[in-house]
Amino acid sequence: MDGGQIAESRRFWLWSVGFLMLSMFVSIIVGEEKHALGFDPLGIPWVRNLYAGLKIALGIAYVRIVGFRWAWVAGLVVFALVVRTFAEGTFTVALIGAAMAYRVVK
Amino acid sequence: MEALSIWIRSNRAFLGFIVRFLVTFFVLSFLYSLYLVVVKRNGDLDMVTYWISRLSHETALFMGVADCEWSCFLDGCYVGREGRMVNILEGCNGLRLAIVYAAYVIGIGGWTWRSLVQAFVGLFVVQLFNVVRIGSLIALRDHGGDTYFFFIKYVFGVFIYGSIVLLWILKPRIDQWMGAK
Repeated sequence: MDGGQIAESRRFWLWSVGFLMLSMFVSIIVGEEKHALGFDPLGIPWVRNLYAGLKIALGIAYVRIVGFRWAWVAGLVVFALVVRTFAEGTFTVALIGAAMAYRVVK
Repeated sequence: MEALSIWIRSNRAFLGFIVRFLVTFFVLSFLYSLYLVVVKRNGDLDMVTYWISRLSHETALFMGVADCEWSCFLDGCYVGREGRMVNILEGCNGLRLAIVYAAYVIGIGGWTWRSLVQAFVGLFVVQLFNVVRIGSLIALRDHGGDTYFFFIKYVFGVFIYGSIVLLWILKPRIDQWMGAK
């Protein structure tokens, strides 16, 4: 395995839970704005791109912080995006799952 | 080429996980999507959303929500007290999340009977978490203002995703319970 120096257990879980909570917070804010505005803000292309960019940036930061090399960061984010393409709302959990799996099978 | 084969060899275990995960995920997602197409063609609501809504309604009643109403339409269900209803759509039924859970379990453990049992049981456990989440949301919908509701919605959102991660963390222990070495 050459994903990098993966964080020791406690730090890994703290970052994983932190990433999950932050990512959920962003999603809920967007969901609440939908109700407040009376329309889906993600229907506006630049808002949708900004939202997607923010979630991906958070994902990249998470995977990098827990210790993966840049090439692995790219691979894991692509993996999570593939999963998310077919199951909405699963980007975060797919990314955490892939990082967890790396630790487990390593 | 040499470097690539060395890389594949050194990462064989993780690549195996990715392949098993994606195969399981695509097969289950395809079957579910196919089911949704058939249901839509027949002009019905899918059974997963129906049962999640129904059980959430029961949970809300159990939690003391008086006059809790429940009605389903083709695009989803409405549960709660008049004027403060929670809309449960197909995307809220948690099945796609449960599919990701099952794909991980099989990705890690392979297509063994232990993994299959865990994936199958996990589908129900995740749905149970989801029913508790939605039922509690309905019960708490009557209390407090929008900020309170936002907070609760956030906490329960983390709750359902956190339950998946928790089950993944517990997987090695569950394997031990099931007799794995």
